Amino acid sequence: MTAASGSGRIPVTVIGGYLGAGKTTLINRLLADGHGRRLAVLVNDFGALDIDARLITAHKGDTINLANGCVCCTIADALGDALDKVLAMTSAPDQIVIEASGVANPAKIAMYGQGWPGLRLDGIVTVADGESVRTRADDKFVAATVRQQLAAADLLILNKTDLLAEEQQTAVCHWLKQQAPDARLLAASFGDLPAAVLLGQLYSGDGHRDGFAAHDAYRTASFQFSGPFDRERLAARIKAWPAGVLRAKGLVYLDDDPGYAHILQLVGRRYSLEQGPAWNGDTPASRVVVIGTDPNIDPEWLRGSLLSACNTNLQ
Amino acid sequence: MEKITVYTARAVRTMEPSLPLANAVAVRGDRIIEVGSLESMQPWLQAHPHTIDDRFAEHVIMPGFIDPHLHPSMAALLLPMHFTTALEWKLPWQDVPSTRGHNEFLDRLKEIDQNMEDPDEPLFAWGHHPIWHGEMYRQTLNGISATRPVIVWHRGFHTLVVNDATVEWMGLDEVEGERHPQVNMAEGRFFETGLSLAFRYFNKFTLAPKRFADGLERLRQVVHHGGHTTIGDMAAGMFDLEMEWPALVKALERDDTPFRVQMIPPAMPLGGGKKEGAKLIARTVGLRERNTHRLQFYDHIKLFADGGFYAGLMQLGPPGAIEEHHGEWMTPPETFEDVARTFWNEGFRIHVHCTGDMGVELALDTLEKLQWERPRFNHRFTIEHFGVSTPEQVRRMADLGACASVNIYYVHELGDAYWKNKLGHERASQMSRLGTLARHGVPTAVHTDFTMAPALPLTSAWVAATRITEAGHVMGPEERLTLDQAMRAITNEAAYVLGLEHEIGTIRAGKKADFTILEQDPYEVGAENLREIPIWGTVFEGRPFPIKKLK
Repeated sequence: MTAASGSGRIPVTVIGGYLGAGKTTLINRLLADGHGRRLAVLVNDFGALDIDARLITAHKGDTINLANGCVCCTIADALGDALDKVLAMTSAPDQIVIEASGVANPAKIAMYGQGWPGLRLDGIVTVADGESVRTRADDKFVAATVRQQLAAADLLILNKTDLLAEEQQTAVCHWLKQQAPDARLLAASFGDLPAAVLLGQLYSGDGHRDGFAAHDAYRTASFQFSGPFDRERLAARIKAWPAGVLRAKGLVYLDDDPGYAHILQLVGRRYSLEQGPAWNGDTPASRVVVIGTDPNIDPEWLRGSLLSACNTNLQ
Repeated sequence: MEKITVYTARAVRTMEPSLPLANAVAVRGDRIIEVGSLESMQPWLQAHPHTIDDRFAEHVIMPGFIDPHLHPSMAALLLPMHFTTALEWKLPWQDVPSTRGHNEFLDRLKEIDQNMEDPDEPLFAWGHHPIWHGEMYRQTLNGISATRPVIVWHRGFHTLVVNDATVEWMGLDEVEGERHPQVNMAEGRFFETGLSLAFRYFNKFTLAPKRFADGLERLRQVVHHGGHTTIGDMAAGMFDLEMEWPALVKALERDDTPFRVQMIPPAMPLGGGKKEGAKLIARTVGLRERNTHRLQFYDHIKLFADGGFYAGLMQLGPPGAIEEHHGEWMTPPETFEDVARTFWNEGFRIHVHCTGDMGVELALDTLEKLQWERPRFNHRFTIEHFGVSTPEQVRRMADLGACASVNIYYVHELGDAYWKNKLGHERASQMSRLGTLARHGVPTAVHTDFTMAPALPLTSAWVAATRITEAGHVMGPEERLTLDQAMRAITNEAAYVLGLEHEIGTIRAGKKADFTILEQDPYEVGAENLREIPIWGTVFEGRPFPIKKLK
């Protein structure tokens, strides 16, 4: 493992939200999208998946293999078993996506991603049906369940905006922000969000893909720094970033642990910095990629913010 | 034709209102020919060869006891473990004493450790509860053994604590374990979702074919010792039907197994998602092709509403709980309704796991909708468990023709705890409200959900008729059943809930010759003493099966 390849743990993204919110549509898109990464998608049921039969290379029992390298598995009441099955595959996937059941608390599912050996949690994406979420949130049976799902989100997707008038959308956005004050809110229809936003960027050698040509609403900004960061200041700066920042990912050179690369993850407001591999022969240097909504992120401002957490100003 | 055998008895409590008390029952093959007296049955006896068997002359014959809801596979997992419970358990191979107090608990673990022959065999102890035993930590358990894995599992199943030797046995890297938000490696504690991580390593041991088979053999003994002749496996295939089925057949479909098992499979995998009705039906009907003499799938299926009662995951309506409470749904309400409709319209009899009043509400809202769309009589839609409910829901059950199968042990074991920590006295004392069910004429059975409660029907009937808690006081006296109602709840009402009332549940001409033989008469000893009645054994399909006494 080299410093560039990250922690070696497979990131897990949990997709939550009530029945009918659009989780499956989102997953169908991820499976069809030419994002170039090999996903293992764990779903409750194949029934609702809409996979082009021509793309299926194998379908055995509870597993479907796709030509693009993705694989789908059913959870069948035993998430741990399904994760072990994925971990036992001859070539490990780049990322695991778990579809939480319509009544699951995604925060609970996320604990598997956080704690299962060989995995790490990327983040929780909760999908909300723009038309019905407020009614559900007052439903006699599922009110608490729905509110819990919203509150668990790192990225909260307001889906089915095509069915909402502008003032409706504004009102529901306002309400969602109250329900999930810690989440970053995104609007979508038919789950039309780029994989990079939902799943994060891939590290791909030296040049990472920008990939947002078709998605004018989003942009990436990437930064390199040769000087070491101060751990506390870095965390403080990033936690103060504006709501337009959806994700960030980076390999960081830290002054208090200079022998090792550190892996920076930001999903919504979920921030983590973990020790990664040793730099070994590589020259320590930090690289951070930020994804945000355009025009709400300002690369120069972000660079300045990061730089102020750096201990040498050699950029 | 086989010879008729006439069993004479001090009393035959038939549970048939038309002839409640008799002193002889004639059996041919697996069927009852006639019940009455030696005099009254003379026409049969003069017409056919017969023998008079007076081995039960001093005993009381009752219909074979029925527990309509327990879990053989869960029992097979648990019974090979060592019981270290605060409440005593009577097991065929051991009377487990009540263990209370921190030091007493540790002494008990040491005693178990010393009595185990294989020094490397992991010691799984089930029954820890901080209220009784204080907190357990990795360090504490290192004091029990430095070399043997020691695993202490919470009474309510949601936490376990392990020692150093266990961590080593698991091969779980300390750092990996510590990453899990519901694992505390320093304390050796795995809880909630962290349990999946622990069982990832334990399953190869706890579910290993030989141990699982041993567990099922123990289950077989437990069921016999309780005096059962019929049980319902109320979530058949709960781990993995393809793994469990051959093991169940091997362990239970034996000539010397004195009971039958009604197999009630879950209607679908849990978790929700879109379900294809036709496939669900075909799969469920297809299960019947496996049937053996004793193990039978039929037209009953199981659905799940809200979460577990011991785990505290029931869905509560207003006013909720004393502390913040998060109930869970095991099935999304919309999926629940879709799947219920699918099976309802195919004429299935539906059993619904409901623990909180909102779980009951979902089941009844659904039933009412289905009755409106496609009315059915005699549908036996059954609310299972029935922890927290309202009186109005009971009346609605009566209106809609629903049945109840109630876990009455909740009152005994959780009554005090839920009074003080969760529900307050009013609602805690009305958990498992059998009295209201009886007042509204709702057909009502009691069950144990074994291993949630001891698989002892007389103990269930005792709690049903007394509502005495583990602390020794009566909770909710108005919700008690009469002695007779309590005895019906483990015989004919339980048969009704399982849809087998034409075959079992009472003693009358034409039914299966399934009897439980008691050494005292429940109607003479009274409700307070029900659980003390010694059981001689059973007669299953005409054949006597005495219970082997210990020592």
